[in-house]
Amino acid sequence: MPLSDRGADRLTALAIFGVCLAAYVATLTPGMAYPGGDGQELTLAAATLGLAHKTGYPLFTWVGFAFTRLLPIGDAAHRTNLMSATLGAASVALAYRIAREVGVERLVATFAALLFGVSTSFWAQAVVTEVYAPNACLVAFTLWLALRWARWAKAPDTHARAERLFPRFALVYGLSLGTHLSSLGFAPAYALFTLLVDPRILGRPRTVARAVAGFLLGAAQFLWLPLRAGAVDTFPNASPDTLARFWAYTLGAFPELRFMYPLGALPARVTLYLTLLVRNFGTVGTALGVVGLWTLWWRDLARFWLLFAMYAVHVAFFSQFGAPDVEVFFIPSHLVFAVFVGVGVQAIVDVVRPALAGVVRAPRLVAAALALVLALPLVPRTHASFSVNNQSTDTVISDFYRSALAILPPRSALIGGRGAFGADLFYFRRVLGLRPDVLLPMERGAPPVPPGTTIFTTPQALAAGPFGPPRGTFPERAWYVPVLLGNRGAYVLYRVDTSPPPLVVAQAEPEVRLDRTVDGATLLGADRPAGDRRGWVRLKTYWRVPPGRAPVVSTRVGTLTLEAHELGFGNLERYAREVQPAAGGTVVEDVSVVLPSHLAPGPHPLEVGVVQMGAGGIAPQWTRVGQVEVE
Amino acid sequence: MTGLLRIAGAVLLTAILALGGWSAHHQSTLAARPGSRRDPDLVGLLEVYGENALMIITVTEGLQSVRVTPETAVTVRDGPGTLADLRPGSLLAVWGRPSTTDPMVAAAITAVPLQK
Repeated sequence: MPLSDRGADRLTALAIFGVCLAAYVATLTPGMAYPGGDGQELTLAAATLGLAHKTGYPLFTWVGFAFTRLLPIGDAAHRTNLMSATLGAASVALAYRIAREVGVERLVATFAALLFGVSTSFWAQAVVTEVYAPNACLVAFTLWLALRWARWAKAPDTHARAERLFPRFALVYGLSLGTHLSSLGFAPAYALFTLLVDPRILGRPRTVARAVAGFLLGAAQFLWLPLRAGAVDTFPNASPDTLARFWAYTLGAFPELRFMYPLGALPARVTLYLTLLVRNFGTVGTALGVVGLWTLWWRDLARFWLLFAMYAVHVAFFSQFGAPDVEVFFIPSHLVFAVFVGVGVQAIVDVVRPALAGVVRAPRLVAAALALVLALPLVPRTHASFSVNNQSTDTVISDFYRSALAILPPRSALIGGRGAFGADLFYFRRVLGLRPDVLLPMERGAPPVPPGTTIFTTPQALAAGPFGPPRGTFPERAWYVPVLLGNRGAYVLYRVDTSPPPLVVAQAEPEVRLDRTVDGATLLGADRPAGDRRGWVRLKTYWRVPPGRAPVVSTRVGTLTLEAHELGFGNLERYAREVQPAAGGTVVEDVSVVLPSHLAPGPHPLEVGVVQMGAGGIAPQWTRVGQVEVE
Repeated sequence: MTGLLRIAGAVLLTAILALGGWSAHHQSTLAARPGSRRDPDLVGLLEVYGENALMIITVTEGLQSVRVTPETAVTVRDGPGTLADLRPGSLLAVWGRPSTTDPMVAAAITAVPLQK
């Protein structure tokens, strides 16, 4: 029995959802994502029902909380990443339904939706915890409801259903503000569309009142902000606990970033947007989108104005927005553009198909040829997006904090970032419950650090300037001694000492003599002192370096570079000045290096490199110092 | 009303296409940033830097080295910058000189500091 149109559409949407979900899950970040600072804070907010940075994102927080509580796999960060993957895949399925609502046939709508699904900006956001994939889902859902309402409102037999649907559409629209407040900019487009489809709606005050009530009910989620304001450290933002601060947290947020560029920068900003558009849809896809815009304008004025106004307002606003990661802000407009692409392809198919029908008698053959033509451009785009956005081995943050919290002595203190900037560390304490004995002085309500406590810190706290710990947190003239090196420069565990470490010694007898000289620096030898644990390797290296010149050194296992740093971590010059060791002494580094948890089990060669910096560029010269056994 | 909206739509579409075309042409004639008209050759996080070279950890290719020269055009966010503005932990997009292979000589670098 043939499927009804509705059934076939549902099945196709479900298949699109499944395919995209599989792709996103295959490339999903397994835990807290690096870099993406906002993502770390959003993860913590979702897992603890906290309060995210401006503009608060209440719906995101609640849905994220549900994901962390209901999914039985991975840690909370993995689960909020899965939320992005799931809602991202749902966005693509909804893009298909939207394309169908504007008259695009099934095969072409599938192509348009998948083109959006494999676009690199969107895929990148579907594998990490961020608001953009969930927001795309809410934008798509709202838009689909609006188009569905319009279809029902036009037909006499479904008019009553349209009346019931309209307030629901308004409710979902109000809710969508909780994944990104910028959706408010779509209001003129929805209002115009409503009037174009059903101008007599203004004569039905009850319908309008219900819709307004639905919208306000959805938008009422922002009452969450003042309710949670007192319980969460919102640093560096002022807590939204007064009307003025509430405004600054929501509708008045980021005034310095809005319309940031002068008129003279307009060509550069427009070109930036076009570059991003072509990067996501290709040159042909972009051209097809333009064809789609004109086609929609010609065929269906109401739907044209809805989609065009949404698109134009969004692009106009964000092309003038001064965020460093402006690319992700265009995702909702990319979703709409994918629909334009679908309409453009449909216009071409409508011209070509009758011509083909005269030559090829079998309609199935024509359909198969069309499917092939549409599938071909998707293959290389999928491959490219998969490679670029595959975050399945991003375990930097999780590996670092699990090792750092394991290596800390009992009842020590770890000073990380404050408020939103400390979310990564707070996550491992509050959500995973690791090392409750370790004091986190930057945590809200933490007691003062008792005298004699061994203090540790990270580069995030040291380099944060006004966003870091308050002045006086660290002793004057402290020495920051590296203890554990993570797999990115931002993740190093320092011990804060008041006396200098034994950085240069007169005599040294390394267990393994190496005597390898590169670029003036000699690696005399290496020890593997006790202290290896699952998760890190402890390595002691001995160096002779020319005075006043600290080489950049690096560590790797197999072909995987674990870290790179300046020998002595910036302490050598001060050490020479203040401690004044005997000339010709040996520089000693005794640190542990985090081993990525995705390393394959088995033995791996452990190598230390001296990074040569000369006319030939940078090239580490590696020396084998031992072997690492990964369980 | 419908006629007016149709005309307005056509005018706006034409204007937007003209603005896009003019902007692209305007930018291509400026050629201030040698690599900005194509995808970067390398994208990653700046790990360490020396006098004439950078080490970048990329997602796909691990640790990569890049040579920098006084001619390397540096952009920080959307404004002009210098090599001294590059900080470890910044996200870098690097465009190489066309004829160079290994190590790449950077013609242009765009840096986005990731710290808030």
